Amino acid sequence: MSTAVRDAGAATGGAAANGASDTHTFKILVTGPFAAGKTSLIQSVSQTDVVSTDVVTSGEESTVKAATTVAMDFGTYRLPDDDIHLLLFGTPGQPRFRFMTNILKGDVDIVAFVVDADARHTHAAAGVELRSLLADLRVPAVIAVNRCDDEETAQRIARSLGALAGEPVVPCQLVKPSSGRDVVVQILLTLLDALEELGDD
Amino acid sequence: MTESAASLAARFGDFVDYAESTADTPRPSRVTLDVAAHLEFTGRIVFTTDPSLSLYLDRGRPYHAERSGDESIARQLVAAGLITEAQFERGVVSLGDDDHVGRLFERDASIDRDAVIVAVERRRDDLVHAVAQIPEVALTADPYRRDTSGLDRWFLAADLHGAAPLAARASQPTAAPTPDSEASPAPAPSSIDDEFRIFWPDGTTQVTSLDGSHVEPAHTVDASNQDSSVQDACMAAPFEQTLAPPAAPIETPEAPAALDALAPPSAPEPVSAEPPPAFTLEPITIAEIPAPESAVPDDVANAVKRALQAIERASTNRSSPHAGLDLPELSLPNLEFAGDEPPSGETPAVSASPSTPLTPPSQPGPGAATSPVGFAPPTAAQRAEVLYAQSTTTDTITVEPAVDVAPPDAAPAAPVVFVDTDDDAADVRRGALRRLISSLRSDD
Repeated sequence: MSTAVRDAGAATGGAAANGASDTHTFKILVTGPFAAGKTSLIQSVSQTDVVSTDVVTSGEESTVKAATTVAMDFGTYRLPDDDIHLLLFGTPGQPRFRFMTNILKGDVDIVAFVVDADARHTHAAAGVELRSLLADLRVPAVIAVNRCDDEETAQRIARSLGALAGEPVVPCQLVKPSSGRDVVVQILLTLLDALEELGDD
Repeated sequence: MTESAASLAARFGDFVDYAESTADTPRPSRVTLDVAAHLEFTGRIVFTTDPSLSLYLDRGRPYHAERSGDESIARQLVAAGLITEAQFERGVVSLGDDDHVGRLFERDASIDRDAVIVAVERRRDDLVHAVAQIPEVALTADPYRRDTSGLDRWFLAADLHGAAPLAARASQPTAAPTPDSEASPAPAPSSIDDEFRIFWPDGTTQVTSLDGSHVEPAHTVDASNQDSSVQDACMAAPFEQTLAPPAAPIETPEAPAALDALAPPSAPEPVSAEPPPAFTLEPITIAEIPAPESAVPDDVANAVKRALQAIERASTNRSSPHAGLDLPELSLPNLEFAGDEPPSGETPAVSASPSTPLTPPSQPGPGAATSPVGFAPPTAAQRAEVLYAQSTTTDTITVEPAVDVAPPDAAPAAPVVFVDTDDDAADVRRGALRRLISSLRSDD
């Protein structure tokens, strides 16, 4: 599936968040398995402290477990002189909270799927999640392969997880903020391509 | 003298019990294969040879065999030259240490499917033949264990992955009918306690009874944190679709050929032969158009106010994609809503004056917008009010200055422009995105 097919909602997600004609908001959904580097990616560009949340369980679950971690990461980046905002939403890594991804993905401009190249034990779940995500995605996606310097290896891992040929793959070392910023730049470039393709159509 | 497979099947009734008995009494492997066929065992049999041999069966029929220590099927296919490394990369899903080939042909259409399947079948048959030659061996049985290579998707796609076979299988006795067992129903395998568990690769477990009457996800999510529509869409519907009892009886072949399952399953018959209920809408007939009431200029002005306020509300609505736009002055003669005109029965509903005859709305000016792009569509009442206001402004109706109603003979000097064109907005947005990228790059 090419990004051109799936970018129909790209212009609507951020546009809906615009508060005024000179305000532009771009939303990135950062998702992937637990401890893949999602928070590090958001922290690398966020100008505010990344917000993570824990919530107390309620209802029937409260009888079983007092609290559970949702870990909804949220970071922002604002262009200093313009009213242009970049919002980064990190989804929980636990499979049981995957519904959050389903809720969030409908209102974002682009999705960044982060996977740890070394954490092979997470690849099975990552593949399931990635394929589930790509199945009905309406925005472009970028695969960030963390702890990986080799383009070919990153491509192989991403494809083995089910990423499609048109999905950009970025090897990165998210422990370094500069690498995280490179990933975010690549994400925004992909979004720009999608918007331009949308304009051409 | 070796006891026959039919006799053993009748005596044990459950293949797991039979397998446990081989720890004390090893039996010829060919007898074991026959017993598994008699009892229609589904799962994995591991023969404790060196190296051990694993046999995967579906209803007593082996569909895959492997020897411990062998490379994965995918790697063997590469080694045999049946698929290339590039096809391996495209077609194989590597999950952890497993190379899943279940979607091999869907992911890479260039692979010679027949050649691959024939090769895999030949390898399986060779291993089954080798197993059958083992004189006496102990074994273990692992019910409902599938192989991790995904080969079952090739050979059993229609049987194991569809909803209907689950229900169909639930109605089958576990043990093959024998003179001894026909009198009483054969017991279900005790190890699964009438439950069918699906272990998904992400670690979640789905439990249902074999008759599909009860479904319970192993991991429940706090309902308060979950949007009900998402729950409904993501949870209930798939379960209902995949685990509902089959609409029509499904005949299960006595001895299905492995590759027969590759044929697409026929579509299920509809639940009921009765046609769906038809709903007919009686035509709406307006017998009498009420006469317009007396002229009430204030009401007309209020109607115009309300219409304009509705538009202003829409323009300042934060949820609108065009929120915050500065609207130019509105000139009613230039205002025209998209869509059909209200039906004849709606227009008289608005208070109208006999002295102000209902005339067609004036045509928009040359530069007027043809529709207020981006706003919520007006309600019928709003539309009627505006249309009526348009018609009345051609007469002597005047409204308060705050409403900005231009006199009817005023030239359409200020065309109504509600929003930028889509192209302009997209250009601006792309420009903003480029500035954002530049800023991030400069941070480096």
